[in-house]
Amino acid sequence: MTVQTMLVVDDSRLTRMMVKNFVHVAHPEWNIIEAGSGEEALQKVNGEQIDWMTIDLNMPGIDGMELAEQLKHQFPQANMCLLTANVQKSVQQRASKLGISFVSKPITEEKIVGYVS
Amino acid sequence: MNNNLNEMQQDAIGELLNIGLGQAAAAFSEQVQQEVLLSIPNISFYTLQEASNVLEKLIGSEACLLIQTFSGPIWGDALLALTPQDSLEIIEILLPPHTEQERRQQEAEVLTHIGTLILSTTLKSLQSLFPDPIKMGKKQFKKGAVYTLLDESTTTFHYRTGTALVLCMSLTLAEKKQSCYISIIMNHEALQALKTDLDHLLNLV
Repeated sequence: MTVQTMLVVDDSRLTRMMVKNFVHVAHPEWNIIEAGSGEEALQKVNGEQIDWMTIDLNMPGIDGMELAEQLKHQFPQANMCLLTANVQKSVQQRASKLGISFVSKPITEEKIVGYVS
Repeated sequence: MNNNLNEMQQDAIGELLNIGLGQAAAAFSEQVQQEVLLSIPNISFYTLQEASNVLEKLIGSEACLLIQTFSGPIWGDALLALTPQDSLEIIEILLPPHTEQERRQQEAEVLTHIGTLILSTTLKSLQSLFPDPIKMGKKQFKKGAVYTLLDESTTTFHYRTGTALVLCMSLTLAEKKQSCYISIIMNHEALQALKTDLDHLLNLV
């Protein structure tokens, strides 16, 4: 099985830890790159091949939707998912328009494993 | 008594409230039929005067305030604050065919309904920490000077020299930017109860 690299962007450290733990339940060999902001994410992906991403929407600085647009250009083949507590229809529609998945918070093992399976 | 929340405890409560705020925004968005923008929760310790100053900076010295007390495993006051102008404009969105006089007459009732929906949905996000239910208590809609409203209506600033934990967030209507400011205020004893359960949650991760 190919080792994949996943980018987890969320300003909550707790959420990043939970996503990492749940991903490792399904794929213990995957590399996880964590970022606490959009700006940090853009720095950390330099020189990396990203295969999977989860991106929070409501963060200080660059918001998740703007970050997703930038990363979509950089990694067009990657699987991207907006992982957010903002469950309004308008947000889900924007994610769909951008061609990325939508997973609502609170996160559970079932939701995260479902996304990466 | 140690009032400080460590970094992970602040992170956890911020994320739980963020989830509650997202659900409150979705419920509010359905009522007003437009997108609602969310702020990032801010967690601080304030005295009554400081909390009043913060709210005055956001909405001015006169406010419309819905105050909802809550009790159970944690206890305190949840507030929804708006400028008088934003309050009437939100009523106008909700009750478009009514005259201004009718809207003013129904302001308390409508904002109590909307405010209760927003505050109880936001508070529900903390419920996952506790086996016992967080119960919604007395609610009051008031208009007036911010400091006076906080002083008369909240239970958590009873000891006036003491600080309380104040969690501030906002919801803003996307089209004309009317904003509601949400604060959850807890005293020192409630904070200790919250910290214990936050640590329990963090130990599970």
